Amino acid sequence: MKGIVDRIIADRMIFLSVLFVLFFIVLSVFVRDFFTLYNLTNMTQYAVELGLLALAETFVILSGGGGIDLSVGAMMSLSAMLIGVLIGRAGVNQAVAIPAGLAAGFIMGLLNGILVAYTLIPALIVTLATQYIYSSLALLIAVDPRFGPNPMPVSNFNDAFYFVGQFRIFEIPFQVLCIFIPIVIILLLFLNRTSFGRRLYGVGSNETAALFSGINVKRTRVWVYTLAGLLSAFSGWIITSRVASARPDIGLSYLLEAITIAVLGGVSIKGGEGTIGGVVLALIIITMLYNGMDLQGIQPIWQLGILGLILIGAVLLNTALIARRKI
Amino acid sequence: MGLELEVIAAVVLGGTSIMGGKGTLIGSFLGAALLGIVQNGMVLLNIPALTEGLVTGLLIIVSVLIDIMRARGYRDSTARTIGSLGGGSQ
Repeated sequence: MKGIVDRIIADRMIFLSVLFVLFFIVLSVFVRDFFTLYNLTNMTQYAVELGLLALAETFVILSGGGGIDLSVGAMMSLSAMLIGVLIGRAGVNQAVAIPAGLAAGFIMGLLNGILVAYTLIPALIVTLATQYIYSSLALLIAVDPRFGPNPMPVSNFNDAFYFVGQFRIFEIPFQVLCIFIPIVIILLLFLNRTSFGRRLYGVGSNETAALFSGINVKRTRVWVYTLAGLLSAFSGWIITSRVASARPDIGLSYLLEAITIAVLGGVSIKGGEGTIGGVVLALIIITMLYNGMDLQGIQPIWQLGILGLILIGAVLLNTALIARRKI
Repeated sequence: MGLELEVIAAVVLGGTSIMGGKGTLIGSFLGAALLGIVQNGMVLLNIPALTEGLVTGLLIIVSVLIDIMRARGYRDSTARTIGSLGGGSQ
């Protein structure tokens, strides 16, 4: 018995898989309507936006040096708002507006990366500051002079725009099948099969050693933050399409959840340690819990508390058992 | 998002190092006061409230940059002093 428990704890992936199966069975048995095809596929729709931000956070934290990105939610909002304003107010074709929104995310991330890598300001402070700046810009471009000085959401899109967020292929949401899964596969290959991925782990686990191995630590960090910006912009585009409305505060609530998922997925906050598989599993677990609590009619106020308790419980269990294993 | 990020901003503006080991209570108080005064002043000057984040963000970056440049100047001068005393580099 002890052998099995130890093996479960030793491998984060197995630990999360066990947790996943456990929650899945409990929710399927006790929550009505949880185990239906519609609910299970519908749930994945909500996971995409959060998942992209969690992946962005994963890369940034992996790069080490106190890396963290507090601005992912703000970059998501600004990209979403830019796409919304371009299509809904300026009447730009979406084939131009969406790449423009994604490019905006790229540039915002690049700016974060340059500030973090080249000015030596800690990432926490840089992204805290840019988080303020990007949110403020999102509010500013949301102002429609025709309707007074207040920021307004944009929601007059044409039907073609809703395709990405609302269309389903064989009951599976389009954005899961054609955006999220390809992105996860690309990032997996990127991290495990390219020299950039190996360099990233090197930079994250030991910056000095990486430097002496001839790795350009600064440039690696710049690209990591740029990737985070791009992923946030994707997230902003997809949520705008799904909820059919671009709001300047759309990404605010996602920030801490994204960091939580990355950490629960086994990404070490010190950098250099963590896998995409773990983060995706953590994402599925958290989404399932939210969904189960929603279906059970638990108040959102309690949901946050319960989520916090479960997270602390999971991490405590993990560290306690690891400590026991070492004795 | 509540006040947690604004609190960090105030403390950072007050000169506390995010790496730990440097910072004062008075500094944090002044940081919080600065943010409050800037926000209030922007209202009184009729600057649109939406630009508040823009100003706060730039304020943080500029103040921390100045702090880092000052610290770097100090470190360099220390290194020079040690060097001139024959203590080798850094």
